[in-house]
Amino acid sequence: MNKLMIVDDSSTMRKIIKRVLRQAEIAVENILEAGNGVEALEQLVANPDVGLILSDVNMPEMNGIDLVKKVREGHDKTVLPIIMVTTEGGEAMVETAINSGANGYVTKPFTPDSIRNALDPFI
Amino acid sequence: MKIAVEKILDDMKESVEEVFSTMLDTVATIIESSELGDGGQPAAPVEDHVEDHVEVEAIVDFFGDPNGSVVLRATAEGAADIARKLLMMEDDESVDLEEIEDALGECANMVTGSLKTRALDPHGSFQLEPPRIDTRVNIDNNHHAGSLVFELHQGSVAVEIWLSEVVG
Repeated sequence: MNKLMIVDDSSTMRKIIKRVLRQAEIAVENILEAGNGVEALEQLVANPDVGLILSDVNMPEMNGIDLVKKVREGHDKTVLPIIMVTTEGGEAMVETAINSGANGYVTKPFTPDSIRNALDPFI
Repeated sequence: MKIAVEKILDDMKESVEEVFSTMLDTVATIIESSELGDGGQPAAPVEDHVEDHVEVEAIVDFFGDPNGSVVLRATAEGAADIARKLLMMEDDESVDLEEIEDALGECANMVTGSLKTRALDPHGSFQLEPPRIDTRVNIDNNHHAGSLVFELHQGSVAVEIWLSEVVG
């Protein structure tokens, strides 16, 4: 994969996800980072070749669900997959995310295997 | 909805163990479990193990039925240990305060998220606030609480639950 974007308001969590991607042996040439949905949309304009987004749900400025809805206005699910990575593991939130256009869902705490399993269909 | 503190402590123990084993690759050994008194005053076990050495506290408030907060209170050694483990660093690597606070906040966030799904709010109507770091928790005097204290590789951490309504 050429470009992947991690969207999370915690810089620590972005670091952890990057390390877990390496542990899971998921080869990505370029990993972009954004601290919320607004920053992610700006990154996406500047980097239209992003191939996959991993996004938190609860974030300031613009949350992950609103980000998914915005991205889906211009990018189909098959063109730009979005995997939610969040502490919000309840059935209702998973359903909301999927109905909003997310391709998959990983609940924190996660293992390298759970990240790999979620990303496998798209890489 | 009224929740028994004893039951919520059992669920919180499982949530803490899940987060620590999965994200920190470490075993959190429980050394105290206690229901705290009403009126916002932590009971003795937390005082004994953590209070005198508290350096970092991370709080996640939640709103639903009932309202409440989950609080992680760590010694300096415990907080640094959590940060190193979470960031997959060596035991002798230095971590800065921002990394320590962010790591403790993320742990509090994950424990609360796990507890929310496991016990408080399986259907998803609760709202979680982003984690905040504080030096002293400001909890409503009417809240009731329970506490678990865990021994880490270095230092210790207390995990408290504060609820607006309880039974038992």
